[in-house]
Amino acid sequence: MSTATHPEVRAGRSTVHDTVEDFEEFLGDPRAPGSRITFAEQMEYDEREEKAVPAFDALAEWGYPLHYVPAAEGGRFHDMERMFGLIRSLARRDMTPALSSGATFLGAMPVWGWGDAAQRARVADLIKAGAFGAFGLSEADHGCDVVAGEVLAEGGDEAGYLLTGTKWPIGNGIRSTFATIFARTGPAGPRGFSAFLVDKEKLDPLHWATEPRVKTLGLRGADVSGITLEDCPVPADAVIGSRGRGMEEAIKTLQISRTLVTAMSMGVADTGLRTTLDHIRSRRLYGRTVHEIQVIREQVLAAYVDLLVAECTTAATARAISVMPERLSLWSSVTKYLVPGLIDEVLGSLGSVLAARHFMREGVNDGIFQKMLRDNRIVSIFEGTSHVHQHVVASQLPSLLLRPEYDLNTEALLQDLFDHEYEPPEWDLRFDRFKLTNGGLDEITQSLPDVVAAIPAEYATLKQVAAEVLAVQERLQQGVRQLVKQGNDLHSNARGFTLARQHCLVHAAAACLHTWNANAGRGGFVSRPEWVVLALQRILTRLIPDQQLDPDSLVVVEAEMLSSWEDERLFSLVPLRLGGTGTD
Amino acid sequence: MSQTDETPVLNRVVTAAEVTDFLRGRVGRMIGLTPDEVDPAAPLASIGVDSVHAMELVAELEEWLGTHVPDHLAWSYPTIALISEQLASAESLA
Ligand SMILES: Cc1cc2nc3c(=O)[nH]c(=O)nc-3n(C[C@H](O)[C@H](O)[C@H](O)COP(=O)(O)OP(=O)(O)OC[C@H]3O[C@@H](n4cnc5c(N)ncnc54)[C@H](O)[C@@H]3O)c2cc1C
Repeated sequence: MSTATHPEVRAGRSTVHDTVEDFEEFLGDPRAPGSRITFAEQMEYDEREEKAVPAFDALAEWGYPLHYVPAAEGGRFHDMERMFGLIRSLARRDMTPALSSGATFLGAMPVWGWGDAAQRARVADLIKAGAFGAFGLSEADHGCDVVAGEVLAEGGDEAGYLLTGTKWPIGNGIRSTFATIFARTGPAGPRGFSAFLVDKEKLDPLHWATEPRVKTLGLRGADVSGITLEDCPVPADAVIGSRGRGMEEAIKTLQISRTLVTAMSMGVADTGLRTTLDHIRSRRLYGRTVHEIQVIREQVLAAYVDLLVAECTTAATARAISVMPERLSLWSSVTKYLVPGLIDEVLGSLGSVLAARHFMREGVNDGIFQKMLRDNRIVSIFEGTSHVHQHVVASQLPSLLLRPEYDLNTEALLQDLFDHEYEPPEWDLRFDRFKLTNGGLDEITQSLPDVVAAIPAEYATLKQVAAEVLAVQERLQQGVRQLVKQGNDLHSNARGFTLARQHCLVHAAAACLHTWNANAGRGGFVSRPEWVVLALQRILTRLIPDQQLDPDSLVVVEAEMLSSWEDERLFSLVPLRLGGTGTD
Repeated sequence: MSQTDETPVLNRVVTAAEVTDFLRGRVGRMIGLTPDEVDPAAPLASIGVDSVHAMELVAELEEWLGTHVPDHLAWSYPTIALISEQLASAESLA
């Protein structure tokens, strides 16, 4: 079977999308028996709470783990946007292997970022040979309060260190061959931690053990467990980067990983919507399909629009890793706060549309929906809880009040961040440009007044909804000023958290407008104003009650949603062909 | 309101007053105040400098001074005035 590629469908893309399509084609349609990763098989492993070995075999065959290794070490890593696309494609089949496999990348990242040549070579060899890795930051008694961590590294001269304590809960605690362990090497405080590359094969078995797997709500085939060390010797050269810099390394690594995990939510949301449409476009009630019930129609469309909002937000953050990593401390927290929660809402809403079918562990698409619903629940919690990210955003809001002028540099940066044809350069995975805070710079939201003012008059509806978003931004800035004047720090204040949430929603609205601007004039759906109108209205729904979605825009956007469904394209502003569509 | 001088001060002894000026500028920017609105005697944590911002502050100080500052600095000396005093005396000892 052959489908000629529509010329419009090839525009507005980069080689990132080619890589993802190649992966999709290899994996096939997850609904079809015989594909490399199917819903049916993943469901079986989830029910048995076991590792889905065939899925990992398929990943190895395609070379997925090689994308965790930089080119200089013989891998295929090129840029984080590509990684993001691959994770989303895997997670739309099943989030469990995406997470289990992703924990390996997370564990390796500090080594790529700050490790020496020997550490890099060792981790590269292990990953290429199919080994799993782990990232050991969390401790049972300290959760989000990682600076209070107690796992201790004593010593530090040529004889090396003795590690003592338990990291729990962590992904791949048992399955991993190597782990990055964060341990105290000094008095509590920001310079009191160091990161260690722990090579399990080289540890003395009498001085370490794994903790049992934890029973979980979702991701039942994953290994969520722990590692306990007791006076366990590791060599002096196990320290990754400089002694005392572990916390900084962890925070910077998490700026990337918390962005990447939102790819899992995006993949899950795609399957949630696709499964819902698969069901309601064929099920008939009262002599018509369920989709033809007007309120259902609008509810499903709202879910699609929310998905586009999430995509605009997270795509620019993934892009920023290439373009402007200096801004990631804020942007990755905004993204991590917003996207998983938004997708929880999307799945909740679609669940009510699927009704009884959403509760069944069989039936429509082999009962995958309820698994997606369960699995996505963890995304807003690990890699920093939503509260933690609200804290980060709230703590930076005062610094954003001084708005730098909108100039040509800002315009060029926004173009690079949001242009769908941008080709991300190869990155060596060194973290030199990463910062702990944005230092008051946030071109995405600080440019909003200029961008709204520049919307052409012919787009009257868009101009009007964008003005409402701007009014929200002005109000929230007044709120920040007021709290600062009263001497309140925003991050330990409920009002500050509310303002942080509002800022995240304004950020998402700005991201939608920038996406539209950066891809205007190229034709295709992304250049239409209708999706932006609805996107901003869906955002405003969360800020000002009683929003009415613009009826004229609904028609256009629904047509795009349905053609993405019928033609087996990802629900996305970028045309991307899904596996199993029989290319040639 | 004066703009803080943030040119690196490589290879010379800094005074406590200079460090205070630098820190009031940086902290002011972080928490949305002008430098002269920042109270050097107030504990940093109570005026909105959380642990991540404190780490950033230490990194900025090092860049400005062109040398490492003691690892536990902002923790043991949690006000601008105390950090300035300790840094100035550490510098003059060196
Ligand atoms: C499936 C799974 C996989 C995991 N994988 C890993 C891994 O690979 N590596 C690893 O290191 N860890 C991992 N974790 C641990 C995970 O990151 C922690 O569970 C998470 O950080 C939250 O900690 P906690 O649940 O103990 O919450 P707690 O720290 O006990 O928090 C309790 C409550 O306080 C809130 N809170 C905390 N700080 C603030 C604040 N500053 N302001 C306001 N509210 C706040 C929290 O949001 C929460 O509601 C994993 C967990 C799970 C479930």
